[in-house]
Amino acid sequence: MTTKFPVRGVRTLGSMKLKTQRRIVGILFCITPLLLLFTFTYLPFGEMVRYSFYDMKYIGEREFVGLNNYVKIFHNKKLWASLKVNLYYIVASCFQVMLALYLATILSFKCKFKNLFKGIFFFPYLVNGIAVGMIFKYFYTHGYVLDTVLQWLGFELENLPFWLRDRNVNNWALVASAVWQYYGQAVIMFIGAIASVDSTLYEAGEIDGANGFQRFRYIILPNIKSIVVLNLILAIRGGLAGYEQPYVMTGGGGGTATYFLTVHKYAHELMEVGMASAMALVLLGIILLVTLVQKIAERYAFGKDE
Amino acid sequence: MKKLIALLLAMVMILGMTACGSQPATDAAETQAPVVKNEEPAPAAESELVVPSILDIKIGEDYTDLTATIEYFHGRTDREADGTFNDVIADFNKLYPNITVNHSASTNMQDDLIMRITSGDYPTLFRECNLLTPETYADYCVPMGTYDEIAAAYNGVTKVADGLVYGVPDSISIWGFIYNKAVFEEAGITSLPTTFDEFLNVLKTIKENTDAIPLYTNYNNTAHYWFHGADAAVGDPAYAGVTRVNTANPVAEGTAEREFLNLLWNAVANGYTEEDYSTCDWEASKNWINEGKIGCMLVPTWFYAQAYTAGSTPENLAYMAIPTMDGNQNMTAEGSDPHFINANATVEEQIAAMVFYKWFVEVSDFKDNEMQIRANVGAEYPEYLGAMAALPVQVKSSGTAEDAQKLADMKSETENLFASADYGKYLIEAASTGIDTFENIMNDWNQQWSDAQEALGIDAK
Repeated sequence: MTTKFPVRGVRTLGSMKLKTQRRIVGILFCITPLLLLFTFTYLPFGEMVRYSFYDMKYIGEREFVGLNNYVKIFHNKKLWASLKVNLYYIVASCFQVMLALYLATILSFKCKFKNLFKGIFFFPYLVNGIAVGMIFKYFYTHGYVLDTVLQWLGFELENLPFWLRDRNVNNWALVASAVWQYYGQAVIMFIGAIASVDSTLYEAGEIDGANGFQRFRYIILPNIKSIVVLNLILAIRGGLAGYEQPYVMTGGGGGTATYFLTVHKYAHELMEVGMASAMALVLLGIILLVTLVQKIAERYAFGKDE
Repeated sequence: MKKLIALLLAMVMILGMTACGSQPATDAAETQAPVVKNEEPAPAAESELVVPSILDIKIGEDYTDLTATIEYFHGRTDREADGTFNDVIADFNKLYPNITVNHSASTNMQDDLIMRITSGDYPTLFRECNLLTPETYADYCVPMGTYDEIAAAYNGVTKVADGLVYGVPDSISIWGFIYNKAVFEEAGITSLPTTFDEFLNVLKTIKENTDAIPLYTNYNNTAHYWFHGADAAVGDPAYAGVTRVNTANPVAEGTAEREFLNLLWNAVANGYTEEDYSTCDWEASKNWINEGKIGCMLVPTWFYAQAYTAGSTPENLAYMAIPTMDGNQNMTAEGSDPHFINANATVEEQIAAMVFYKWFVEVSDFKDNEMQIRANVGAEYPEYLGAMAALPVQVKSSGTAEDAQKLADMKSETENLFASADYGKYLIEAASTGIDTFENIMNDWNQQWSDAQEALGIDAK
């Protein structure tokens, strides 16, 4: 019983220094996620870049065409028309962030049934997008749910539009269902961020006589700025990549095909893998560009701090 | 530092998203390894087994002691879910107890097959996948026999390359309009329409005299059927497969296809179709046609059984032939659901799949229960075809493998013009809302078609 247990267990691993060991452990812990990230994101991405230079289907011969796919993309009117549809989703996603911010601020102050409302707001996010699509398809059908509700409010059925048919309203209708589905997630994120704001700031604000709006403008907003920006980036990215709603509800008919839906058509219906890859890369370029513009605008709006 | 992390995070997310959109493509990467043709075993193979032609198999006599396990993949999720396929396989195992058939179905069959075929690990027997073109049949599938022999035994054989058939159809469908007799009676229609004008008149009569929707377009699901039904309207069994590809302006003034599409246009423009087509309901339409809420629908005969079981008055369902320019109608049949056999499977598995498939096509009562028409030459027509059965038969043809490849190239060059639902949907939308004119659309399609022919070097008339 004379064995002396090593007091500092970590040091028994050979004669390595603690710092080296830490580094090894750190690398080991990183390897799994990095490997996953590499296998499922960067490797496919690299392959996709390669495909974009080929005229190829999933099987059969492939032909190297250089930048030909990209040239074709810039002449593809349908594709650019479908990118315009994404503008609806971007506008809606900005509105979504504002709505979520508003609701989160209200819920962060004293109000009844706080948790119930949180649940109600967040619930749609948990529903599968396909199911949401099915629900809204019936919701918008002429003479069904939405029209019935509007009739109670005094509208005449003849004066109501065909929500998914008329080009004037169908994209807004689709976008509304997207907002309904995703705003809850932003609400929860904002509530979390607002909760982390130092409460003494509110007290100080109260003493100085700040009203609700001023408290929001000068205390909450600056403190949760980074979360707002992140949400905006996510929302706009989501807007550029939107496809679930038109995919399920209209199949892209009536001018509701988004960029992604068009890419999907090329990849799956026409099986032009090379072209679809190039299109996806162009979208990546657009998203990076938009993010950059956003970053610059944000710096301009909030000033350089941190 | 924070900013850097945030930016990196955003980048990773964006990359993740973009890469996601192309995921199916990644699987194509490793599959370029040439697939060994199994048509003839390599000289060194010890096995003496050779995959026979589907015609040479005598069900119940040959290969009864063959032991193999095969995977069968199809798209009839409804029959998979209600256990019908379990019974079918049990029936088969009475004759072939040693052949195990693992069967499954998917609602997303095409995409699943694309994924599996590109990965190299795909079912032994599977229903048609539009990924396979004549150029690639030989690399992925086992030939079922020579075209000359098979075409003499089965109707509607189209999957041909180098004189060999790779996918025998499992049944025959006939293009026509399913209609509800009670609705027609109520409207006071005594004779079925034979020309486009008569047809439009019939729709008008139904609209005026009944509450039914005269013609249901099923905008989201079957808007492209008007292109596929064109063979019947034109009166040329090779129209969609061969003739159209070689015609410079298929929808020029006065052509049968243009008039046929004009019928759809007029029906929509005059309000003889469902008002809110954007929210059409495919599943519900089966019940509606059955119970007289719909007058008629353009859909091949495989639909009959589905409509038959979907409502309380199946006795009112019947089929009528597609109208033509001059009223000389025909009965246009088409091979349905050709199945393919995996070229990567072992010879035993391939033989087992061939035996099972032949049994499924010719012996199993599945097709009878589904009220479908068997593919065998000389198979009986079902009663529900009514007067249509007396019309001259034309079986859709896709011509030679070259023709089939030309069609595939044209589709790819024109983004599936005259095939994809998108074009039919646009026609319906324009007719309904007036965002475009019929002339404009037709000219546009002619132009696209001619441009593609020029690009591919097709000599068109």
